[in-house]
Amino acid sequence: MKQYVLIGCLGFLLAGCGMTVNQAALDSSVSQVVTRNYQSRSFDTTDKLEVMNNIVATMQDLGFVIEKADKDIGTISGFSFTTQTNMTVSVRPKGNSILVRANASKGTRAITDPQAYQNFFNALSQSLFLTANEVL
Amino acid sequence: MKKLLGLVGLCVWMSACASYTNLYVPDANYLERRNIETRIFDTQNTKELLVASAQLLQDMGYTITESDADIGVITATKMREAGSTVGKVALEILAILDKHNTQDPVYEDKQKFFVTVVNSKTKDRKVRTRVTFARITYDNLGAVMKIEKLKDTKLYAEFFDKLSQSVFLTANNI
Repeated sequence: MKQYVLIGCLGFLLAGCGMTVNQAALDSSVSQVVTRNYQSRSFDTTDKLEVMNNIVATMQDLGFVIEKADKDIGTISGFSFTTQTNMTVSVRPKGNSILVRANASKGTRAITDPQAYQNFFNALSQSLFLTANEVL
Repeated sequence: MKKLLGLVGLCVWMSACASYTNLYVPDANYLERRNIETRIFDTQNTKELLVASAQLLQDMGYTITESDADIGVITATKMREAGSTVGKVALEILAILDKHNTQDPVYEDKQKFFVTVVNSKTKDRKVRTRVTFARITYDNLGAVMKIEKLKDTKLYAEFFDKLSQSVFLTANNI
């Protein structure tokens, strides 16, 4: 009996992970607004290049190798050799500030923990402060 | 059987709940590492330094996979042999001699290097160059063995010596 219960639980767990191709392709189970909210932070500056330079520096601090960078579109992508994650960071001006948005994944899984993004934005914020004050 | 199933169930459950709370927190000595990975060049010409960096990467046998002059980024990769040939031959011979052995010997065989060079202007009109190296090692069966960022201080010091040289050579069209 116990065996059946265990198999049942395992089946339930596995079924929970199952997704259709469309769901997997579009990640449609997640709200776009919620995702954008925790993946974005606004910085009080209008210097897009300065922000992009600091994103690169922060990514280097976190063990990333930069695989793609485009100033015109405002995107930077890389792979971290310390956390083994992929990340794309985009930058766009919004009034008198710059909106930075990051999305990351590890293997087949998207990073959905808002704290991970807060950590990244905190590190970026510190980097912007350091360069603004010419510490580094 | 029960234990095995329980264990499998637990593994599935744990993998589904992997915590990323401490992800992307820089480690304690990241500022020290920034210093090791950075050198300031007394020039105003970012582009010239980028070209010299690209030349140096070619000197070192890298293939450039990404570059953006505005952000000042160049990324390059190369594949090289890992481990000593003598060691590999010895392992193969030992495997042949061992009659009870039914498995192929596994050893570090190849390594792929990744390097990112970033040039940016400082406020006192100089150029700040930062480089980071990383590598992936593969065994002789093609599986990934190790993924790591290279942190040896000497590696970075030697790179910057070579870059200084490359700036001179490139400026003189050599």
